[in-house]
Amino acid sequence: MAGRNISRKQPEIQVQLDQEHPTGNFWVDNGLVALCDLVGEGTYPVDKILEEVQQRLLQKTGNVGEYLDENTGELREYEKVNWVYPTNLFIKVSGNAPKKKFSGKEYPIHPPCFELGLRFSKNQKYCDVCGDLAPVTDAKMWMFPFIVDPGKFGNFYSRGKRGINLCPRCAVAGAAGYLNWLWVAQGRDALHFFLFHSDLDEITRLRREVLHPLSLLRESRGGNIGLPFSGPYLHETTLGLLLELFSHVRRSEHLSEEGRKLLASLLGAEDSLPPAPLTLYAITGKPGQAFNMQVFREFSHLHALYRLYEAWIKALGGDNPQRTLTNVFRQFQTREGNQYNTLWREKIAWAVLEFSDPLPYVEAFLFDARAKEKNPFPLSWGTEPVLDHYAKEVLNVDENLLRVLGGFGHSLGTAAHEKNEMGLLYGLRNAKNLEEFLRVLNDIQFRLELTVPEKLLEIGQGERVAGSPWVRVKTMLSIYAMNNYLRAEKGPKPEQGGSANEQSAGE
Amino acid sequence: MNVLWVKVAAPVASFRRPLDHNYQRTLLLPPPTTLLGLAGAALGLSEGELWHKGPPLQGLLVAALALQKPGGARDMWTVMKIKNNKITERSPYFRELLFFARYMLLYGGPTDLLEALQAAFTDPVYPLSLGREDELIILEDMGLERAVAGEARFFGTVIPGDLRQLDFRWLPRPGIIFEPPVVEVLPLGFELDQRGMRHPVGATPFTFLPFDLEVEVPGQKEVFTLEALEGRSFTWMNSPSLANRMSPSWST
Repeated sequence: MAGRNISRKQPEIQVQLDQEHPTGNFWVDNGLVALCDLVGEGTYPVDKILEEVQQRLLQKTGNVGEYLDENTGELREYEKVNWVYPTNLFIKVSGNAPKKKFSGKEYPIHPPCFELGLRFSKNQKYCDVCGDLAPVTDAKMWMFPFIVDPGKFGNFYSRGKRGINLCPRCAVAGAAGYLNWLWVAQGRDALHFFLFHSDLDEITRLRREVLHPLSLLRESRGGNIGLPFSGPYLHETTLGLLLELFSHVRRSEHLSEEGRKLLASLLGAEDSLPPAPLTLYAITGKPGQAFNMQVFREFSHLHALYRLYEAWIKALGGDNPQRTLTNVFRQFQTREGNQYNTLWREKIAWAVLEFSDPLPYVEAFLFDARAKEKNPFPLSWGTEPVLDHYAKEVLNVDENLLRVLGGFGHSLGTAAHEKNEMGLLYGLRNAKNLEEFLRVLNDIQFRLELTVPEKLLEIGQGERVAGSPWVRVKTMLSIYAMNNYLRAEKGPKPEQGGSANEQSAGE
Repeated sequence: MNVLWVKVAAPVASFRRPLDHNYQRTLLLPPPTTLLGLAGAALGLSEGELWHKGPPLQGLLVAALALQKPGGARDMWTVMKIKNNKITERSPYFRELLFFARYMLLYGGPTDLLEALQAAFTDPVYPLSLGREDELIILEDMGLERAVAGEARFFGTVIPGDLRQLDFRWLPRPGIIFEPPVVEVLPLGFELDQRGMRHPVGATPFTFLPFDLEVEVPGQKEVFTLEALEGRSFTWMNSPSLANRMSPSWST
């Protein structure tokens, strides 16, 4: 790695820092914002900026080392430093100091210096990020974490053989990108990091007014932002982050009024037109000696997600709808030994973030995980209204059909519990086609003595029930039914048969 | 201007974003260098001939339109790292793939070049692929046609420039769900050095419009249409006027 000696030999290179010239690359743009915030807009020598960045990325480890003081010939102690976690997964520049033998052992003659150094080409070349013609440096992971050593890809990408060229501005901004990220770690299983991207002014304001105050809330080895839930997968953790951010839009104890308003306008919560669109970049990888990137996603429709969130909060009502909503999503996990399996939550979060259909995953969780637990609980309070609203607004399920499904599902679950007919619910869940679904409804009618609502039997073109695909109707019904079965198992047993329920089912 | 249109289907295709290495996202449509590379494969050009600034491909213009919305997937691959002529270690990486993509690829330029290209696509020297070499395409149809001025309304195509800085109007249609457009700075060509390494030249921002997103860009010049496009319009990705405006290096 190039060190200070090398950079000193080079002519002093100046870098112009301003917010007028974004590169369009989310990592480098975030670094530019961090630098402008750190040293202010202006022209600076590369080394000076790098030193500023370095100071913020190094921390004392709490351990003590020894070096040989050549003047006195004695050993002296120094406090060891290293790159702050998790940047140490990306920055592999180690401390440097010449060593000398003393009492049969080698000691550094001064505390090791951790220095990021940049070496630029003599000729001007095009920067691969911003396209400027300038002296360039060969990008390393500490400047741009999305690259790998050219040797790893050069054998089949001829362009990869030469690595990635970065101009001085992009190189120092890349190194500063670590100062602007939000990160969450799940031990050795996963490291997630998040960056917001918009125009540079908006990122600056977001950083100052929102992310900085929120990230100060929890600076620990587990991450620099507190989330209501997270797991080893990307989408569940992203949903956790968004629920946390959304919770500060209407009222926040941690953000200033200006910060709260900014967040509201960026997320489209205000009546006025939102400013530049905001994109959230979410990256997940496995931390080991380095960072093994596994998923990389961009979320651009944050406005629509916020509107969905607001509607959920309104639908839930109560004293603390935020907590209810958070609990709804947090629950989709099962304990396996000492760990939690959160795959269902990941799939459900993926579907929600993509405005796709989460219902099959809720059904799978309920039947394959929750119902098979030793002492199963029903879904947490608020789950049904949240799913109902999603089905109505995103999946365009007819409102009347939802009411019928809710009512009949309740009757079905309760009656199945009374008559110990859990198998019937699995039969419903396992229906593979419309005929099987109708056969199960027929069985329900006879074995549980329930009247199947007519609405469920109105089959339209394309095997649709009241405008919705039959399989979605089946999925929702089995969710409601199993949830009420579990609820009945937990709650007081009804004294009489399900006549009251049957009435509601017949609506 | 004469235009060679080539209708192709790609069971699997992928267009890696240039700076993505260990997680390789794909663009939705082929970038200009891929289209030039495809022409070079059909004609049997070596890498040196292909990226030579003079003939044989000098002045070849390219554009692409998606004919349907492709499926998407993420696949894990293993890179074998070669050191000292031996495979020393294996490294996994992820690559996004497009499934069942269909494109209308458009080539503009001198008629004799287009005729040679048409003949080459009928009997290509090298296998034709979009993306990596094993992502072969099926050529469904092609034709040579005269382009006429079109309306500056685009969807499922690539337009030069950053959409955020263009004067554009979204043309919404009820009931659609679409991915947002992607803006990526891409080269218009490559220079080969003495060691055979490719160096990108002519970095230009491009907006990749997904199939379901239609926009009107009133300021867009050089908009064309063809009978084969059934009312859709296109603009060249590497028009010399754009290259001059956006990237002085490419025009030199």
